[in-house]
Amino acid sequence: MDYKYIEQLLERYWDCETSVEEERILRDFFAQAEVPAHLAVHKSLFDYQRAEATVGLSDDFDARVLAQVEQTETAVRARRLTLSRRLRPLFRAAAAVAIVSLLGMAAQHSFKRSATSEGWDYSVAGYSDSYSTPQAALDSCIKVLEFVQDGLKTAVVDSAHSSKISGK
Amino acid sequence: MRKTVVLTLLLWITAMAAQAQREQDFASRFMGLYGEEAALSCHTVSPSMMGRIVPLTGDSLPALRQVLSQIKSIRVVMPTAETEMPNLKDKACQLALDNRRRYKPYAETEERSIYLRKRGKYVVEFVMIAGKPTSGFAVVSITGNMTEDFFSELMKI
Amino acid sequence: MKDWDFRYDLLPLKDKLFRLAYRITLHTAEAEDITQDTLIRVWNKRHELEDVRSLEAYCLTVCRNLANDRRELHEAQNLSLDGTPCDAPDNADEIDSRMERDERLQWVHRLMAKLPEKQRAILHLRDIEGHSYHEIADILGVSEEQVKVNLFRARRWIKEQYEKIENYGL
Repeated sequence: MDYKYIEQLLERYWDCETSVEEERILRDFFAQAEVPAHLAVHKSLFDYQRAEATVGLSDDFDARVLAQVEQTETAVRARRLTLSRRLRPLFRAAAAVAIVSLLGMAAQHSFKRSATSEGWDYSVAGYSDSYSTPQAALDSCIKVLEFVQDGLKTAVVDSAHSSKISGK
Repeated sequence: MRKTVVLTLLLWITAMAAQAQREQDFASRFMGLYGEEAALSCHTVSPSMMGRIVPLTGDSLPALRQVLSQIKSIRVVMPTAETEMPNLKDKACQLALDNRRRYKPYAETEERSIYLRKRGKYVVEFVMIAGKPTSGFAVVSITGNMTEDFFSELMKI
Repeated sequence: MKDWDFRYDLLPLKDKLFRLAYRITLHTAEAEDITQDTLIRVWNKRHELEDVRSLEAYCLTVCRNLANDRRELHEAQNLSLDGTPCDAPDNADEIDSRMERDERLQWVHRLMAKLPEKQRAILHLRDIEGHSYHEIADILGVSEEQVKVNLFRARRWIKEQYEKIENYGL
């Protein structure tokens, strides 16, 4: 077998010309049990590199560090709690304002209705005029009313419904 | 902390939604659904304009004055030249049907369907959906505090 | 803002950090302390780390700095593996016994331990962890040129030691 490639790689390794990938090839090559005698001397270096890469911490390290994280987290949470506590009056005020204004709105709404005893409940703000002058609007109103009148005249009035209307 | 914010926002949104809920009449709801898609036009006489119209009628037409004074707003939705959507009348009737708790059918002919929305002793909205299957489509929404004599007065104009 | 998770983002780096800390301090218990310290520190600073390109590189930087602080404190007793105190955790024995089993590996270990800290750290990151020059430069906060120069010196020195064995035997 020709070891020229490995020899070359090794040379380039010492000169720092190998890529990460090529260095991995070297490690893989020296990982095999049988390495030719003239290269064997370097086996220990690459074996060491491979062996060291697998060194790790024991499992009980996780438990310890997680416990510590938990501890600091609780401390942080406690600090955050005080911050939110400091802001709580603000939220209470906001909630109070919201509730009061809601109640106010509702009260105003029902007041208005009972005072005038009117059923109309559409918001004035919902309408934007199509006509710029009252006269134009009136003309259009009359046209619409004539149209409606015509509709009512030709309509077969459902007696049940009409009696309901007059009944109330 | 976050909960409080969410709760406050929720309250606020609910309040806004509740506000928004009570401001639409049938025509504007219909416009909102199909207005853009079908290139419909909407003619509106607002409550404030209505207030300015009534004095114009004079004493010559007491019936008209009587009718107008009970009206707060008028909306008419009509197709334009670009409108191509078919079955607009069916869509409007379907909308009324979907809101049958709000709009009760009052009268029905081949070309016209009339719905009323009542609140207490008043009719607060009068909706007329007109049109043949292919032409003459219109939705009229009249809101106000209309009494039974509104309809009899209307016939006298 | 990225939401770091301690278990999934930081904890998996522990072995790598431990190896670097051990390479620098040559002291198992110290290295374990440093690893823990690094993880906790980075975790507590996680909200400031939005612009960190690589969490791993950042952790390794913190780890190396902490290790160097400790190394300076314990320089004398850490010169050889024998300096490992007897009350060290179990895994210290693991490393030591593994080393003892293979004379040749222990020899390489001692070789590397003799290198100056910078060369040692660079050689470690390159040959054991397989980092690119760019990454090593990022971790150590030096130029890539500096990384290459130091790596070259380290490898040349190791090569010389190997040549000595070849010529005179161990």
